[in-house]
Amino acid sequence: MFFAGTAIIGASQGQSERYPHVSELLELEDERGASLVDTLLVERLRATETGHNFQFGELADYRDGDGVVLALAIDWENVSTTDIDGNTKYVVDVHGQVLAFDYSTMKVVGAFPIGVQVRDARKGGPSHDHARALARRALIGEDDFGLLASFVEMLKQVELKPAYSNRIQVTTAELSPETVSVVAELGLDADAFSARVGQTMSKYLASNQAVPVLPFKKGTVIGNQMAAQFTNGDVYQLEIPNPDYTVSFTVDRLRKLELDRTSSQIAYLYGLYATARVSQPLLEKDYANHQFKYAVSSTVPVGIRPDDPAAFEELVLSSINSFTQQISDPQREWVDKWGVTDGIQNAFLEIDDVLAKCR
Amino acid sequence: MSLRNAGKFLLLTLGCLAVFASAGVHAQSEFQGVGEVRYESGVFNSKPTEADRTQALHEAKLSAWRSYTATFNTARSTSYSASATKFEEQLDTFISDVTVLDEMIDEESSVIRVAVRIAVNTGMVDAAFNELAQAGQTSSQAAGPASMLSFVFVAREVESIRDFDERRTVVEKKDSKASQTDQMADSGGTVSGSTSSSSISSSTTGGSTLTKADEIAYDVSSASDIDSAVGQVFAGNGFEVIPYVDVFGFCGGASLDAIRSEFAESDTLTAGTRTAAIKAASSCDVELFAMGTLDVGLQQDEVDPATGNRRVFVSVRGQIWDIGRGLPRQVASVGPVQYAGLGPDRQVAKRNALIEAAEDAGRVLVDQLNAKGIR
Repeated sequence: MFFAGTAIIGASQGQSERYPHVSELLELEDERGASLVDTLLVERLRATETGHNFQFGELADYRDGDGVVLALAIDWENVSTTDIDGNTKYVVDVHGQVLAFDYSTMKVVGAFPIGVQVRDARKGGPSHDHARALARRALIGEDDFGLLASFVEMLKQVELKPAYSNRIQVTTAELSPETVSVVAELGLDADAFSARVGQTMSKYLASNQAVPVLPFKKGTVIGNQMAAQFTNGDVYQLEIPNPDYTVSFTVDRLRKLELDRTSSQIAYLYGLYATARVSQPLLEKDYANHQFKYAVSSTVPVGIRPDDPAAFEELVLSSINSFTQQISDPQREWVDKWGVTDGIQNAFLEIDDVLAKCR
Repeated sequence: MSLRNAGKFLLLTLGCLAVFASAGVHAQSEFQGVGEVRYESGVFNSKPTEADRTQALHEAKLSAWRSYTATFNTARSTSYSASATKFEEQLDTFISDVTVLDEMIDEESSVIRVAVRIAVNTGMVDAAFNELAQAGQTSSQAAGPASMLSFVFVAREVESIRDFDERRTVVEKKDSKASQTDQMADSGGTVSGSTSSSSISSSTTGGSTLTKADEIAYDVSSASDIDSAVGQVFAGNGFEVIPYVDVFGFCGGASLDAIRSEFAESDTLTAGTRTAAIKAASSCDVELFAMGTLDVGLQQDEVDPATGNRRVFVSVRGQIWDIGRGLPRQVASVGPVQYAGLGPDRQVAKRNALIEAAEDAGRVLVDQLNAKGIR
């Protein structure tokens, strides 16, 4: 399998606005004038036993063949800053895919979503340079942290094939009207929030179940096409095949309760209700269409304002992580504690059967 | 045009595979479909039998296949309609892969539904259409070997545009009218009189504006890329392609340079040049003669917003004449149809657009020939 390097997904127009930090980080060069990110990624791949044989060489090599090409495809960058009592809180997300595509047909063969989030807080107002440093940490990272490390880690878990017999894709990530109101009150953008839900569902489905998941459709995908711009300037329009099975995820309710209070601290409970649905669209057959709930707690000192937006985002991530972990090995305790609708345990088994067809 | 029997159809199709294998055409397209079968349920058994399952699978493959045939252009649809049954009888010949996505059994209404995804071997389909045309030859072609075909396709790029100012002719017509009114009044022995006069003048303006069409001069070339793209489509579909330079070399007629220079100034050839080219081809036993132009759009800094690449448009049109018997008769035509090519610079984008336009125009022309049973 050929390794083609790193690419940014999405239309070339407006790329610097959508990827203000990543696009500049990808322009960094090593001492040979090659992309620094590519060089560091290749070094990691060479140093790690991933179980796959990659051909690195010149990019021209894969143009001549009709083999499957592997790439790190970055599809989301987000930097949010919040003022908290004179401090600036930074949340930096960089997401991407371990993307395999067929060079002869320019069709996506399989994708394994990955993502990294960096949080930090500093005194004073928002700093562009500090955000850049955090984005660098999220993308390039060090040791076991960062998108490059996640890329290699994912490769160790999954089986890369020239073709997969079946395909699954997260096609819908929705917020109920009630949730949209809560998200707006938190000062978060509802579209970005739902995109993150879809992204997260894809990511955890892939990483927890070692299954390729077709890229989640959002702004970077127009119709069934997505442009991938590589660090060497090559641009390919990749076709995303139609999914055989679809996943939709709806956040039905978000709630916050004061759980406990002492003289020095307050404990809050952040909870959600969500519905996950896995279907075969042609047959209109549902393998799962179940509601579950989930909650996380957060304790803050008295007098300190809790960071509700971060707590709710953490809640959504944790709930999806927990839900997708259950698929291959559903636990009675989990079902009893978090299952809302009946039959969720059988639904996990049904989903597991579907995923087995997609591996 | 229909085949005599399915066995022959299969044989012809398989025989043609070699042509496609050598041309390196192994295109596949994927389509999904659902098959539904109502089955007989017994007193003690409400499940479908294996035969019901097999039938539902077949229906699903047919459904997916029909999604594929719905993408055919008009000419190919016409050819297909006449032989749809034959194709459907040998579905597995054209389907390279079948993936069963799932099945659903409704025991209450005794219905089984199966969903599949199929991969269509489009090379095999092309080969079958080619053989269909051979089997049902009409027109001037006698049964036997494939027709000899020669073509001239030129690429043109606007070199200069001479636009003319509008010529305005103004016509003015002036009219004037004078009138005088005398009034007399008798009032108790006193007679008074007054005279008033007035004049009216009017002018009517009209005219016309003459706009003369731009004079466009083209830089004409017959790129080898176009020749090989068009030639590959014709040869791949069984025609015996004779390069026009050989027609000119062996049988005279209009030279390629003469044809190019006329296309540099006009969209059509003069009657003399066209006749000379066709006569020469005919005397070389060429039965089909194709001619076309691929016009490259004006040089502009158009950037594709998705890829950031340069985008160049090419407009193609072409015709094929049957010159094997008597007067030339137009048997196929395409365009004008516009194609866009992308590339990191204008040259690459232009080349990609020209190749795609040439290939696609060739395919449309071949489909029309196939629809008429000409091969």
